[in-house]
Amino acid sequence: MALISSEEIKVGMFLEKDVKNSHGQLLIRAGSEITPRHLTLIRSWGIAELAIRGNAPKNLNLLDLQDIKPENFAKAEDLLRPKFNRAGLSDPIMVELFRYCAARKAKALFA
Amino acid sequence: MAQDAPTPPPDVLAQALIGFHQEIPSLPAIYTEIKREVDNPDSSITRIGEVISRDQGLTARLLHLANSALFGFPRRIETITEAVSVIGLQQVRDLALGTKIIEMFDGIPEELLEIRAFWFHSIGCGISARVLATYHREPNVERFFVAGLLHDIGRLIMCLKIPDQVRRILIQARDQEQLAYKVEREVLAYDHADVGAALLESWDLPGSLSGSVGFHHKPGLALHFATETAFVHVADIFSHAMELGNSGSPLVPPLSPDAWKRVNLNPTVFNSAIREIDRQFSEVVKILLPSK
Repeated sequence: MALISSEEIKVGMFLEKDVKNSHGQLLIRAGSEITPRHLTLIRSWGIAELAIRGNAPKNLNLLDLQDIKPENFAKAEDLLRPKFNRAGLSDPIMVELFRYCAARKAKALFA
Repeated sequence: MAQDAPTPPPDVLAQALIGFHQEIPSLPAIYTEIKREVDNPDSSITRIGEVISRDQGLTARLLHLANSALFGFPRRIETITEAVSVIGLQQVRDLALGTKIIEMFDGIPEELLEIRAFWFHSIGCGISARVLATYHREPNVERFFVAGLLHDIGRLIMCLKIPDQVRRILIQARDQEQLAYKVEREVLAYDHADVGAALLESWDLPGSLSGSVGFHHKPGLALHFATETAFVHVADIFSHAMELGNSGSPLVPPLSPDAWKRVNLNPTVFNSAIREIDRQFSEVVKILLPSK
């Protein structure tokens, strides 16, 4: 099982757990294969996270980096890294946050 | 042989700072009035609306907030009574508290602390706490917003009471590339989080607020309100990492494994969380910190 954000859910993935709205009502049953109609449902209910069968697709976290030039991403990382000096970049969670924030900075600087 | 007197614990030192001469701003009167009405079972939404309406600035800001990306209501909220009924009583009370406190701290020298940048960081932390708590499906996310908004308020008190020490601490932190709260602990034996908690306690605010503020740099030690504390801790990291404003110290603090376990989030939400924080931040800053 893997937890993924609703932005990363794709048609054809299988749900490991029920998807419920904030009122606890069942929207999509566990075991369902995701259809385009499900995607609309997930987005319109503002579902943030879903449990899918199998492993999270590789490079999921790079999704948002596709439209950033590698050299711009590297520049943004260099500018941001000093601020993370005491943040413990040996922690994989902090590394993820650092990468997302660097991507955001690259977009802001080089858009 | 004479022994050195043991250093009192940080909360005692922080309380002493709060009690030390009269410069502490008092809790906004309008908050007390709103709270009285919210706690009164015989009161009504109309009555609470009337109390808020006496403060025109607060009314305008609450209406702006009600119509902002914070809530994303499908239709326009036109009156304060409507805002109270759709946002909720406690929620409006908490938003009113945050809004009024921002107005209170004038007169801190800019060379010591840039107050706008300070509030940018604080609003960033409040929004982050609120957005992350939403992923966690926490009820009343406004209390997370206010706890985040006030998490560093102790530093403002320190700027008013012991400005020379604060100046030395911030310079030392910068020169040593060290986290300011660590230098505060080293020099004073307490930090701005202890002072914030002492202030909020002296105002008799809910324990969830003073607790999460007081323990945001040591969330693993929070015995009460550990969830609120964990969200404020993680939100502070987000606000620093996203470079929203400046708390006086530009460094991103390290993540407490205890707090991370408690917020129970997956890094897969980082991307959408960051986008949502950006979206809400720019709107809320315009409402709470309009440029002069």
